[in-house]
Amino acid sequence: MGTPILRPLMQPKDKSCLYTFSKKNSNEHSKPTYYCTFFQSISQFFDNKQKAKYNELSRKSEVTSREDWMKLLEENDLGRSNMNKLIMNYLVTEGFKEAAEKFQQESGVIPSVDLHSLDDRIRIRDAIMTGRVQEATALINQLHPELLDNDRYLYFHLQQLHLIELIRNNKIEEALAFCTKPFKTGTESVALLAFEDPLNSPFGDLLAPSHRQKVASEVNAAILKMEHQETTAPKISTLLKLILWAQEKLNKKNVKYPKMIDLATSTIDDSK
Amino acid sequence: MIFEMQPFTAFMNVESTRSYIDELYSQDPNKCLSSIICIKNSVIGSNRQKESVIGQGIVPRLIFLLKSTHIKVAVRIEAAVTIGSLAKGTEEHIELLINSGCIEILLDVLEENEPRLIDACLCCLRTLSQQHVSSSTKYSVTHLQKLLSFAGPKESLQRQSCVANILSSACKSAAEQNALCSVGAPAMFASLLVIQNYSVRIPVVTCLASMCWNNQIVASEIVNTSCRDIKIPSYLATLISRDRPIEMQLEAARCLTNLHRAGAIPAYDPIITYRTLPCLVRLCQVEHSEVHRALAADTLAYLTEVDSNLQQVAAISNQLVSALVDLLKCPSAAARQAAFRAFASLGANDEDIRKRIIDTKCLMDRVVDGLCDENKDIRLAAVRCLHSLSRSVQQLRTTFQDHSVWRPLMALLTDSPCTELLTAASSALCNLLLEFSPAKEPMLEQGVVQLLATLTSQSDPSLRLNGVWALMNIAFQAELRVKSQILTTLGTDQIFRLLADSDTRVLMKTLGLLRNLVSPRTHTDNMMALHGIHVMQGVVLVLEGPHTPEVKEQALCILGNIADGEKARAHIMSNEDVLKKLIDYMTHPAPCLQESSVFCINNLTRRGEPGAIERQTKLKDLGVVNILQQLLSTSDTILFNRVKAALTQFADV
Repeated sequence: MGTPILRPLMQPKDKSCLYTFSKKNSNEHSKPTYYCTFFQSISQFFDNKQKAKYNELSRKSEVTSREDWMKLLEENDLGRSNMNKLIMNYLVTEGFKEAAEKFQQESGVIPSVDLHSLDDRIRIRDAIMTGRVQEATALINQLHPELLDNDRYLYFHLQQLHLIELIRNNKIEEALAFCTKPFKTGTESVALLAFEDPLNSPFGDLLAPSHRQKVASEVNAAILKMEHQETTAPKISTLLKLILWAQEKLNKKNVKYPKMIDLATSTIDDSK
Repeated sequence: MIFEMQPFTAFMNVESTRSYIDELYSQDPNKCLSSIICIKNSVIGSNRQKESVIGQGIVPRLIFLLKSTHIKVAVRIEAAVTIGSLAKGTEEHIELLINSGCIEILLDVLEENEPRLIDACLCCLRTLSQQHVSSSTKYSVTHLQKLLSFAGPKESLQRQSCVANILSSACKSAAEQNALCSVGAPAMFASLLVIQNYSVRIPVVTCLASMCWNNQIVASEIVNTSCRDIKIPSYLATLISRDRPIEMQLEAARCLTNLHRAGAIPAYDPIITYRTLPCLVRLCQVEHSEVHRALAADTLAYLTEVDSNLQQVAAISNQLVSALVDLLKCPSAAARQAAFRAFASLGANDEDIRKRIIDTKCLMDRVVDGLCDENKDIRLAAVRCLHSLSRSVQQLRTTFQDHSVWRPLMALLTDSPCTELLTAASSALCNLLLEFSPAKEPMLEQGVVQLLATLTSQSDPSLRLNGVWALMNIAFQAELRVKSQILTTLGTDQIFRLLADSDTRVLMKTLGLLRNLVSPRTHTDNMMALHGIHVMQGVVLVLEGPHTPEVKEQALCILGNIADGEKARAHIMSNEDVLKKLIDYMTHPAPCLQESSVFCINNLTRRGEPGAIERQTKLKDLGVVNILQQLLSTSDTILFNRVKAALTQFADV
């Protein structure tokens, strides 16, 4: 749930946006960005001293007022270096090498992995995003020969995507020949062959760029796992999921609290 | 890392790659390389493609390329990778590779100094070692040392993980476990436990668990090995926590379980009672996946198999029994087997736990179903479970009877199953044939005596033991016709063979059987009239044999019972040899033999019975009274009382 909010902002074509983002962050006064406040609020629960204070506050009134909450957040400064680490983690995990290099220059954060190691993942991603699926498959096999044997589901998705690319490029004969290959390519993708205008068929979404993006992400996560990264998703998306989860729990119990209504701007509801 | 690809050639199916396969045999290294890359890309991910290229006979060529040191490294690496991919195919593929000697060649290549080639070989070895195909690969000490050297703290995570995986499969026998221990695996693995990465930690813990399974020496070496002043069990105790991945918790719990069962950690150690046990109980709960629950239940069964305290602690959890019953409904054989095993362990000693298990809805139906399951492992687990539950007197008379458990059990035994199943089933049978068991009568009607008599001539001692044991149970307070049936079915020859059995437990139960046959008093004369000569021969055989006092005591007890029969005692009185032996045992150093011989004398001379005076006189002439008087000075109270009682019988002479 967190990712769709992040993605449009961070996609490669929006790199410029990324840089301004990091510069903004170097400006002391525009501090409250969403992950910042949230990180603080999490640490809140683990800091006993602060917890005591929090209890005091909750005793005063049943509902923690927005002011109290903001005050708590302000008092609990996590420091910019932690924020920067989160950003670097996002860039490295998602494979945005250039952005990571720039960010390293600007913020001085050392990435957790050698940025050159991102090259392979970037090449594979690019190959998928530009429809060169078989090349991507060969690259994966070269980088991690065991990956597609271990994850046959991923292998299937790549084969399916290849078929879709053939149909997209109107290589119908090749597509038909590919379908007769002794493996299942999925009925939906084969169904595309039946339509004169596959893009406007009920299965048209398979031809949308987002489908390439989906497979590319899947491959990216699988490679990270092969490379023994403990988490294959950026930490920041986990944090966003946590906010949404926590707020949903509170909503269900009808608790009144300072709710964050816009994750992208970390706006906290001040209707009360 | 990725080097430039040649102009990309589309993936083709095998027909169109035939020319590429031809080039695999080319002397031109570049042609050979591009051929092998093409083959690699076609087989990765597809079992059909693997089948197809194997069918074209490329495996010997791949092996040749791999082991040829003069060929360029890139080719050899691709050969190793391709073999590695083939090893991820079907069981037939793996078998073919193993039979082609792949493992030995891969191990040889490890001796070379080409890092990327070594990486590829290690991955390939890992794949081959994880297969269920039984490989008879014996890793020499040199191989073990070499493999272990790739798990050093400066090596890559992939190498460390590979080595741990390979070695896990290399320690099945005690010799292999000891060998691995002697080359320093515990210390090396302890240093790997520090690494914050589960892809290394999990296989390392798995390997430690395999190393210490049923091996006391290795287990105590492991518990005393530490890294950074922290002992291995302490690392394991942290890896068992809830916040760790489930696989990590399971493997850590399994390792601690094996360390405990191998005698390196006592049951009362909090790490076992309050960490390992609760972790396993928790992982049995329904919210976890079937595979994990099955493994947790199986480990829990092993952990609680013998220690009754652990059984009780495990049973504290209210949900455990219902979670295990739920596991019985799972489709996989492993799950059902594990649940039966866990029930067998939990109910092994405590009547309350047993009752709780049996009172669970439909449980007995499941057990009875399990007895008839197609899968022999499930049948075995169900029988063991039944055996454990049959230790309850109350259940034997109620639930077991309601479900006519004896029927499927008898069917199992007559079905000529494997020894393991036969042993478990006949153990359960022993309990079902106890005198208070309502199943006894119908089983006798169904010819259980013949069945048991056959068991007593099996080559496996535990089967002979169970056979005699069950017959002994039947004979206890049985009617005369049943006793006669036992003796005639078994036959004199078989009884003598059993009395000469190499297994003392069998001998003891045979003597017990004879004793039950000639008692109580009302049956003694009848039985001795029919079989007296053979019984006396048997007793003499044992008394003259090189047996322990405990065994001979049983034989003397039989004489004691015979001496109780009005007519039967003539068998002793007329036998000078037996009388002499009896008198000798009165002064034997073993108190138990003294007690039982005096007891026998007492029965022979009991006052007021027909012919008592004659018997007393005869025994007095043989010096019995003198010996008895000397025995009065004993400090053994049991003996003293018996001696005193016997002396009062002699008051008339």
